[in-house]
Amino acid sequence: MKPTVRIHPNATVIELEGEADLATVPQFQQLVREQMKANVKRLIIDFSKVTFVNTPVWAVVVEYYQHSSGAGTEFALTGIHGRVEASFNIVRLGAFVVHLPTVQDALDAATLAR
Amino acid sequence: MQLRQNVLIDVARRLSSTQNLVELVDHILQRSREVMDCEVCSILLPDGPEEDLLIRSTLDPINAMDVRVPKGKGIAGDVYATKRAVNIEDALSDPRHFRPAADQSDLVTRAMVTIPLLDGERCLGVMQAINPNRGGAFTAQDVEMFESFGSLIAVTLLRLESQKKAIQEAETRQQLSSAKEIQDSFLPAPQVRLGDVEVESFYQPASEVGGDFYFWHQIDDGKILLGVGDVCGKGLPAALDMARGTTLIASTAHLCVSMGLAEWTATLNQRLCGVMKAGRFIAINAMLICPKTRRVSLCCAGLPGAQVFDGQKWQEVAAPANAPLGIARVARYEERVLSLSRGCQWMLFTDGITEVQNRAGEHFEDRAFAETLAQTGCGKDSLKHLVEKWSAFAHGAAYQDDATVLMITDHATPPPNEIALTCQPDTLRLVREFIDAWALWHGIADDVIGLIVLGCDEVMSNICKYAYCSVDGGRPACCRIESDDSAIRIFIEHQGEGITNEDFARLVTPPCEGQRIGGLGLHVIQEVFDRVDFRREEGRSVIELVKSLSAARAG
Repeated sequence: MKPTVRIHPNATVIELEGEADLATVPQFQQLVREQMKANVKRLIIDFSKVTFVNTPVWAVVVEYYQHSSGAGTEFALTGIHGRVEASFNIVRLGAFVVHLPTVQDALDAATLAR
Repeated sequence: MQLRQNVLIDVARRLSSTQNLVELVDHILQRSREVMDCEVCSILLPDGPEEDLLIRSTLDPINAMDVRVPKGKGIAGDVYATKRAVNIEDALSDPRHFRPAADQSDLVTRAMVTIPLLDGERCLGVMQAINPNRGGAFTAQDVEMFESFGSLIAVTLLRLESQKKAIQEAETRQQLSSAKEIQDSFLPAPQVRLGDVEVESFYQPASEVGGDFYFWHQIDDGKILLGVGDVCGKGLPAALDMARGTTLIASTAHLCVSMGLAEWTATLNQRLCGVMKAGRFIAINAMLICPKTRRVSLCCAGLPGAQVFDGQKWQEVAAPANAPLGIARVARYEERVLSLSRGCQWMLFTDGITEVQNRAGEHFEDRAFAETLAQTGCGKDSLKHLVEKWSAFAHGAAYQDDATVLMITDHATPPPNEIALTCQPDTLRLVREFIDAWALWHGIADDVIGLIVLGCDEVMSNICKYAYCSVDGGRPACCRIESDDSAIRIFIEHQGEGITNEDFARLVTPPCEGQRIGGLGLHVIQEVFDRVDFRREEGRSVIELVKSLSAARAG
């Protein structure tokens, strides 16, 4: 998995690419925890170029979700599709984590609350 | 007498040289009138389906009137039927006398000799000499001479008839040969290799042209549309419908890029309904192969079902029965979708294969077809073997329908069904790739493959994280897949300490917002698979994962 961080005026976007699995989760987890430390106001994680996600990766997402809920920051996932969407649906994160079709949707949203 | 002999010799020479029947008959009549020294000579030959006797005479007005004697009527009809010569002095008083209404000539018949023109027992026509110029009746010598003429003419008529028949047969052969050539141009090559799929055909029309056909088309997206067809009827009308059908199939094959086989068949049916005459129809058995997804669709409309060799034996693929094409625009069509890996060889055929009868009156499908398939097996000679057995069975059969077989062989190399690896985070993708390749080859739907890959990855991840958490070296693991008609079974083995079914039941919980981080993997495993079993076997931990095929692949 190849992560790229992009800083926007109102958000930080982590773009992931490839397969997100047990081998790559430490790198992803480190990146996410850096955003926690930086206390970014709006974090967007984009999965539009991701082909596989397993539960250790979703666990990192849950970790950030719990952090942002406590810290009062905004958080959204974007670009979830195909096999990633099937995985996302099984772990039922869609019930509480904001997810939008595109990064632009997340950037344009007035708020990212559910 | 010398004159009569000279005329006879002259006529005999003329008979052997002419090819024109009318010219010959006119010559014979003129010369026989000279010999018989009579007012009129006529020849009456059967003509038309009713076998009327058409009169050709030395009397030109009669020739112009197209005079016919109905079968069995008059003295001529009697001689034609009895095949015996008649010499009558006063024809008008003979009860058999019959004057056709069309005969408006001034001829008044008095004495008349009528002789049959015989070829053994077969009567080719009759000849008549009317009214001797010397008056009175014809003598016995006249009759004998007239019969000599008659025998010469009979031989010549036979020769001309035989030549005419030969010319007609040659013309028919030429026409049929041209028709066959045209028909063959509507059939694709008898053998083709399309990627891993090989298509071979056997095509035998019952006559020069037939109503059977086969087709194969490779579509832009790599799919292959193929099948066999059988047009109702025989001969040229069937050949024309066959040409119509194959042309429409060729022009609509590209639609299979975006539509399923049943929808394509319905479209083809609607178009055929627009161009085929009432009472005519086409039966087809079509197959759509998608090499990328390893799926095959079957749509059978009025023909025997496809056969597949599953590695053990040939068996019929149960598929929905549909109406032949060209009968009703509103007809609906259903297809069956299977994995291409269901068998290594598939066979489509027309009913000319199964319905042929041997000399004993047995149909090939009664017993011989099943016996032949049982001996045929799967391989490069399977079509040849089937055809040899079928031909031997059908040899000498009184009636044979058009017969067509399409043999489809899948030459794709199956992926391995087992992988052994050292269980580490960066090797888990090998298991995912292994399952992906295996499931794709077996025609599992992509969304289901995604779930199975995810479920197995969760198992492998847990083995990495927990079973081998304190192990630095070794960490062997193995993943093996089996499948049958009902389910896919995945066995993952490792040498770490595994969990029990009780542990699994206790630990697995559905995710919720306030849940602690972790524990999602077991939930995924439970969601993906229909049955999960954790057990120890001979010092190894085994996880058996079962996915029902009813959900995993259509058909």
